[in-house]
Amino acid sequence: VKDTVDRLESLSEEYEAVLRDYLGGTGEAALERAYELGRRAVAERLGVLEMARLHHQAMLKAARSRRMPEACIRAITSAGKLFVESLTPFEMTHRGFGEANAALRISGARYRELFENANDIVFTVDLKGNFTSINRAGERLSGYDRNEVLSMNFSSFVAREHVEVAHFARQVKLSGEEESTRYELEMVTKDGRRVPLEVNTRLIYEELRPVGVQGIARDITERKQAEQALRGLNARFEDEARRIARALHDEAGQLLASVYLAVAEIASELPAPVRARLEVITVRLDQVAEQLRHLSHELRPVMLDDFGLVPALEFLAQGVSKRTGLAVAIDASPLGTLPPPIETALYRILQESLTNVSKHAQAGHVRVRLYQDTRTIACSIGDDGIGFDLPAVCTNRGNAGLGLLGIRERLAPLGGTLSIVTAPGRGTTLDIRIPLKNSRRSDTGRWPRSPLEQTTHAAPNYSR
Amino acid sequence: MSTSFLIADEIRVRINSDLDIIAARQKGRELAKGRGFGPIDLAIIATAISELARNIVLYARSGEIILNATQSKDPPGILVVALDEGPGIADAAEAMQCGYSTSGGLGLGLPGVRRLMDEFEIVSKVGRGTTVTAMKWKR
Repeated sequence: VKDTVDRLESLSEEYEAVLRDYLGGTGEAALERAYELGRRAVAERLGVLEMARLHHQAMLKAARSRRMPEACIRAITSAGKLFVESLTPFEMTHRGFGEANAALRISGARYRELFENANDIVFTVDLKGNFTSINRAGERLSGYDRNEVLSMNFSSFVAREHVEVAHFARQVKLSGEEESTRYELEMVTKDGRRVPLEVNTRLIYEELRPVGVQGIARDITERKQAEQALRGLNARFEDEARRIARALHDEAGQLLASVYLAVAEIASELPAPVRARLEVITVRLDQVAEQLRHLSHELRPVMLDDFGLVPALEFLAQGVSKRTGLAVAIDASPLGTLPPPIETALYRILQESLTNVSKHAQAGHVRVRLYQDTRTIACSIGDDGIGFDLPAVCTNRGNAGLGLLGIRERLAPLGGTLSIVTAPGRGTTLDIRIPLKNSRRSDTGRWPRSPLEQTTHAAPNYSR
Repeated sequence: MSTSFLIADEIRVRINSDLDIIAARQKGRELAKGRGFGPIDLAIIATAISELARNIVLYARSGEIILNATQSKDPPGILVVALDEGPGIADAAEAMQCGYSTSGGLGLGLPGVRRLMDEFEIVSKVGRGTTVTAMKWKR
């Protein structure tokens, strides 16, 4: 308090001197000194009222030194009081401003900490893609320091073939089609490594006009490796299944046929009563052969290798119809050559779906549609059964069979999606989409993966 | 805020209209001047009384401003209490936020009083009225 009084004292003397000079006619120089004095007063956190008081006292001194009449001095005294009263609301506002500033500093520091300590890259760019901010995670993952990043454009941060994806995402947001976008791309680090990122972005607005983009990018290297491993495992499983299926179909089948012939030969040489007993064995052998064929087919449809996807699917459908009485119609537009993993996946998915339908749906008909464009292959499987309550089934994890979960797991490594349209009494339709890649580039840089698609399709723990 | 150190002769001013606000300011200024408060503090105490009394007239129609001085003179203090039995405030903490008050976020009203005075307390219950207590110490 003593300190404040002293500072006030010295300011007060200085103000008196300046006022004296100014009234003496020093003009602009005195005004400039008054301004500097005001700045110092602000820096020393003097209030509006204290300044008014300073002026008032200096005014009185000046009046006295000029031997003004008593009435004049009384008038100045009263006017000063009035002036101070009228300034008190300004004092309140002035102090409120100081408090708000302090609060802003604290919340700003908190936000900064959150931004800097995030594990994901947090960044902003202007509408031309020039970086305007990036956090420590961004420096760490990219290898560039902050100043380098701030002189870079987003496109030089990203693998060349993925620039287009980011560009497209920005257009989608600017056109108002989507509020935020989510996509994958590869970043190229300072030392030339590629890091797969999942990027979530939205527009930054100032006064309702978009001025930039803010984003959060997550390093998905581990997820990519897991997907790669799953793809590898699936492929190995399919190879193994194909080998065993061939062995069952060809070698075991041949062997069985030779046993069958040998038995028939012996039978022809035996008297009728004994021959009847051997016939029981040949019936059993027929059953074993049928079982082997069935098993071989379940493991890996030889049809798929020998005739292609559509005939194999038709064969599968016929088998199901024969066993269960379900009428299955397959409607396929001409398909180009598909990568073997996609063919196998589609075959398995139909197999799984038809099993589901025959077990649970109480349906009479199933319609399978298969069509392809340059970017995707789509398959829809619709039945006229009893349908089900999708949200209820989604939350009922205790009852989770392997059906739909298995379909999703097959689609995941291929980047495919499953959406389900159903309601009690309305039948069920599964819509499956698998992206086609005609080049050998990695599957990052994929589009579209809008948030909408994510929410309606993601129900991983759900099965009938 | 303890009131045990107050002298007994408190001053009570009924507040029913803008005219009563003037009377309350006058009484507060006299009380503080008698305790040796400087002109700036006098203006501050008068302003606090104005804001509190305005609130009574605006929201509760009528109430009371109670003025008191501390017994101890080291340092002397002036206590201003505003009492009403009006509708009360549901969330007093929120009412203390800048921007909530009718002053439109300029920092006037109750938050302004809190900033001008050295101590400040508000107790309010919906349907039971509001009590604001504020203290100014002599510098």
